[in-house]
Amino acid sequence: MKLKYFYLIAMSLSSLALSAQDYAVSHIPNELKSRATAIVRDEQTSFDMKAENNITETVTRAVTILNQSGEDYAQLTLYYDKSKVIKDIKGFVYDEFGKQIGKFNQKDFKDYSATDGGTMYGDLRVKHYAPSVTMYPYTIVYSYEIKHGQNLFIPYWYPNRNSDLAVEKSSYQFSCKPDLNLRIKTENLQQEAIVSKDDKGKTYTWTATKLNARKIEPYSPIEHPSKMVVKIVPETFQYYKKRGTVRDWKDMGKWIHDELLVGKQDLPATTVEKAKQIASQFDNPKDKAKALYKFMQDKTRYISIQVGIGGLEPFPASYVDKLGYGDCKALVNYMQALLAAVDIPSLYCVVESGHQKISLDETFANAVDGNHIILCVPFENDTAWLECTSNKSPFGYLGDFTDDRLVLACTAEGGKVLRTHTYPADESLQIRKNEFKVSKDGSLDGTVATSFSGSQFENHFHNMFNSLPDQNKQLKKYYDVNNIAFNIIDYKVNTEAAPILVENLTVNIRNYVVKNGMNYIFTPNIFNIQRHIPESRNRINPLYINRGYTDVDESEFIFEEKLKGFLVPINEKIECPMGTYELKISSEGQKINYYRKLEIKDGTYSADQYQTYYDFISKVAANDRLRYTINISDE
Amino acid sequence: MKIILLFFAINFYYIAQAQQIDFPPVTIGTFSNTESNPDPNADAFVVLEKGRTHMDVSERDRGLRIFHTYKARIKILTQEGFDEANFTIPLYSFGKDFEYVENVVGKTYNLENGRLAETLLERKNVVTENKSEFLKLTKFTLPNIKVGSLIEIEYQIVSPDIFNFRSWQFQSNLPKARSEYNVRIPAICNYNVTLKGALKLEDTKSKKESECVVIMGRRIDCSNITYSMNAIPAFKEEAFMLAPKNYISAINFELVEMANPNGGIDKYTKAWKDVDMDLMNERSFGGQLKKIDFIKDKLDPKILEIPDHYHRATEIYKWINKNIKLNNIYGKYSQHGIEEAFQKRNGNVGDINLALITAFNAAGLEAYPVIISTRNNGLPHDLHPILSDFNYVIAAVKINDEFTLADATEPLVPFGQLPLHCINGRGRIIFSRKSSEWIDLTNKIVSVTDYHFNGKLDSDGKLKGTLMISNTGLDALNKRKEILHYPSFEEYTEQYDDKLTYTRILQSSVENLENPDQILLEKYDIEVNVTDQIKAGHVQFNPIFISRITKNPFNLDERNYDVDLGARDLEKHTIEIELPEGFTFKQGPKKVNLALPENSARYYYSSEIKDNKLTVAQQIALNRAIYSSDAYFGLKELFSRIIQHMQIDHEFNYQPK
Repeated sequence: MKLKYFYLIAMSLSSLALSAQDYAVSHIPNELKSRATAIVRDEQTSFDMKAENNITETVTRAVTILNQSGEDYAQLTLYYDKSKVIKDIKGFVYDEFGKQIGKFNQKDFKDYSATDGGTMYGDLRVKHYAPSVTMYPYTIVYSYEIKHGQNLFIPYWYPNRNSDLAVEKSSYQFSCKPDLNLRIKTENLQQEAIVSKDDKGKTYTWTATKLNARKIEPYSPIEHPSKMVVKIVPETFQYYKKRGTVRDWKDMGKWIHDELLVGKQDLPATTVEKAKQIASQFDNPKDKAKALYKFMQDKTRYISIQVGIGGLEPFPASYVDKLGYGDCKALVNYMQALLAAVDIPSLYCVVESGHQKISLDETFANAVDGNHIILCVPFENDTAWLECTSNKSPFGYLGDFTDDRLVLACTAEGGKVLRTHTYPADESLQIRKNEFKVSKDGSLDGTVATSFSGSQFENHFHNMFNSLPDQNKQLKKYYDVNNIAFNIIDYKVNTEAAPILVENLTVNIRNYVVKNGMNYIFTPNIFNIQRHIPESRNRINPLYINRGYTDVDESEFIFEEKLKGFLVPINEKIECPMGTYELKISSEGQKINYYRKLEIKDGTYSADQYQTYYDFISKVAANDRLRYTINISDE
Repeated sequence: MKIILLFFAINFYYIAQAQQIDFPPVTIGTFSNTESNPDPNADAFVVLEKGRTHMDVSERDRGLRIFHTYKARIKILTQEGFDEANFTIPLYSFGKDFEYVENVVGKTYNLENGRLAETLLERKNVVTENKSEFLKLTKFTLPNIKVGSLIEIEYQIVSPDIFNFRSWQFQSNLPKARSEYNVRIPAICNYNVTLKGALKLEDTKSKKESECVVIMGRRIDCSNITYSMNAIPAFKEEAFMLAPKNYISAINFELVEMANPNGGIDKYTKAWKDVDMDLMNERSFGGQLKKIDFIKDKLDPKILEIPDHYHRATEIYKWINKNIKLNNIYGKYSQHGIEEAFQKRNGNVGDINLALITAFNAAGLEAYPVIISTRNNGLPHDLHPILSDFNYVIAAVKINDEFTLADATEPLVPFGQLPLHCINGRGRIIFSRKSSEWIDLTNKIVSVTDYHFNGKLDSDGKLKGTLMISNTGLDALNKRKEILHYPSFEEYTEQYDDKLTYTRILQSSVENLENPDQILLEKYDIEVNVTDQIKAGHVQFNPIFISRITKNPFNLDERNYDVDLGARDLEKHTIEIELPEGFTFKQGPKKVNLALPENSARYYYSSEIKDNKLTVAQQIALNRAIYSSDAYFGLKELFSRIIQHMQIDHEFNYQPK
């Protein structure tokens, strides 16, 4: 699905006053220049909705590019598809002093398909223009008009969306018939909308001024807390000849179900029979579902298809059955049809996918949220979530692509907002056990056995399916240690309960322990060394940890050489609200034992807690790099 | 505005003719047979692939066209190989003419209940995307793909590209059991045929075919040649290598000459002396070099008076740099012409560097154009001139009897240095009065990063002092670009500080950020936590606190191609630390001087304590821009030793006084 492109171009249009203004850079207030690579001098976006399938969007915009790093903001990238027509693009370029040095119009734009290489079929296109000015600063001023043939996706207003783009003035206007019901959501605005209304129409105008650029802070929440936004969706809308009335998520789910899904589950009778026959071998519904999921995984493959009504409507089950492929919507619909054939109910769910846990906006039903479809199968005692685009995922495993977020289930009874499966930190495990012999020259020989589960299940999962040479190459990235070599590589998945990946390796690391005269220099933590995190002084944003996990690393080293004395044993535990670290090191004769456990807890913490987290990670990082000098016995 | 989305409308498929290329039939026996697979680790392999190309008059296009038919049979071995059932055929434009594809046939064979089942690709599932003005993509994917499926595709491309006939890639991302290419070249054409890559042809069969084609009312004989290869390994890209197309085994054609209807012969590929002359006569190449008077009028007379030639050349380079900016378009020809480029203050590579050459000449310096192929564009053919291989032009100016190469398109590159994209084998220097010659594209300026620290270790375990980082060559170019990516140097410092561990930057400054003639110099007052609070007894730390090598960049077990770094590289550390009173040296890393054969790479480390001052000097020198694939393992071992050496701390006894 590709809904996101529509609001990327939420810039704007309005009455043209291009020539009258003075774009000299000296007119920019100084405080706006701090941290900014470019400054929006004035931008006006207005929508005039004459009918549900006739909206005119007019945008005018003036941006001053301060230096090379702001060059992206000089480019015009306008996406369109069959529901949009872009026209009347024109613009001017002014130098630092406001003197015109160039102009452009629609003829100067390149037009190409916006289908990415991984997409088989798509119909999104783009018009693109980049001015070739290289004397900074300069100002680009332009206007254009877009005719929208639908009103379900009206571009939102995000005046302070980009951290390095300051805004002198931005406004957003929406006009429609006086009696039309609009649903509007706003956040963090400087002022309420100015509303004017008469017999012919009503107009809302929002304005923002003097928005400074901001510093990007590490581990910030997905949305910065002061992000301004205006979202508008008319209660009654039209989209590719489909009409609907939506007030809340219940209505939205119902609309998707009734308009886009009903009638799509037309499995051929032979496949229905096949599904029944597969299911009949099992008693309980979960085992039946599991077997049908396996059947679907073996029969189909994922192909990215982004055509049809904005990428919202799935191809019917019969299509997938015949061709053996489909996109996420079509495959979920197909899986749902298979389950329905054996009377197992399931829910078609819209989700925003990605490593970042982005929920749909619970308080504001809209069609922009979500870019992927998954299937929810409720059983008596638990619920299975199915990712249908993977031939490999174990039954019920979502992973960090769609875990722990709010999604919309679309059913005949209406939409329901559900939360997907959550992997708590103490169930997202990576448990590693190393056993090594240390030869006289300091080389290690031994085994590395690791099990991965919860949100860490997929850490090395994909390597399981690589060829041996590629597995070896990949392992050198996972275990990036000088002189490492892998002799035996073995993967197994255990799916009795929650899936666990077990990786068994036989490893040799030449000269790992450095021999320096009659000493060994020895770093007992080989593979799991905590990276430092950046400092963040004068922090504004809260600390946000997207996903928690627990790592345990245990090692036993047996030295061939006799060692003199023993190591001072370490038994340390460091704790903070965001995590716990345990370290135990001890020696006995020629044997050294190492134990490390790190648990990171996800969540949002206040800005001043960042320093606590930074200190914690710094201590962990220092302990992870502990090095010993061990004397070799001269006996 | 009219937007016409022709996605589904643009295919003019004719009714598929009888199959043009014969393959042995698929049987249950051959379906399951994978004995011919050259690589047991592959996710899919090409069982058989055949191409056939001929030239003929196309009635539809009313002209001569190249007709290329392609047929392949591929065995899918794993789920990872499913993507091999997705096909994208690029179709290019030649002037107003576009290539187009016809007669797409696709089939999937599966074994179902002991019988061979066949699923056909439906025509409506073949779509053509108008990618851009110059490119269309015909895409399709085959139905019912399973592990073990055998797929077969066939299509014909009709192309106006008579000059290149049709190249054939024996090697691709899939291993191939057999690949066969048949060409029928009419006797009115003469092509240069070249085989690229390391693999050898299995066989070449050629015969004369009488009256194989009718062109302009004449029956013409053809050379019918079939090239084949067996057991072809997949091509795999490696780090630090030139463009893959230099290594992929392929057969290429270039038209040398062709008989015209008037009984004469049109020459296409020529000898270098002809190419030289054509270039010099070309308005957008040689024509620009004549505009000496135009440039002379614009040049500051003071520049002309500079006695030192190198200095004069440098000033001219900077002057061009300042006056014409690159519009990001490559090319060996001038796009606007020098006058217009000066007036618009921007132009393509041809505009800028031809202006540079003309300006050198106007200033009494001997300078010539050098046409080159950029790094991504592959190496130019070196046996005969193929002008289309060259996509860029630079200047060669003779100073003190030696040529200095210059590219004035990037203001952050100083005179005398080439940006990385120009470093690609050899270029051709075009003398007007004598025949052109090959010239090596190398950087005389070594890439250097030099860390110099001078400071004091305090009893709190903190190292306080001044760190100076200086860069030259490609290292400086990359650093300048990185810094200028930030709105200001302060913001660059801020993030650099955040990235450095155990280190706090108290003050920073930069010199020559936008003056590439000079060494880029960053200066930081810093505080580094190198060790804990210092107490009586044992103290240890590692003075290489910045840019310490811990990972081996050459860590693989196998290397097939040359290692190409683009320039010689040198990293230097000089660390001077005043120790607290009462420190006595216990032990530390030994002095090391390691070198690869012929001093092609070297590691040097020394440490010295004198008057309570610790001085550590380290150098890692990669003295070649290009290493052979065998040398990879030498580099791997060298870095392995460096990493081991970096683990040894300096240890002291501390007795407070």
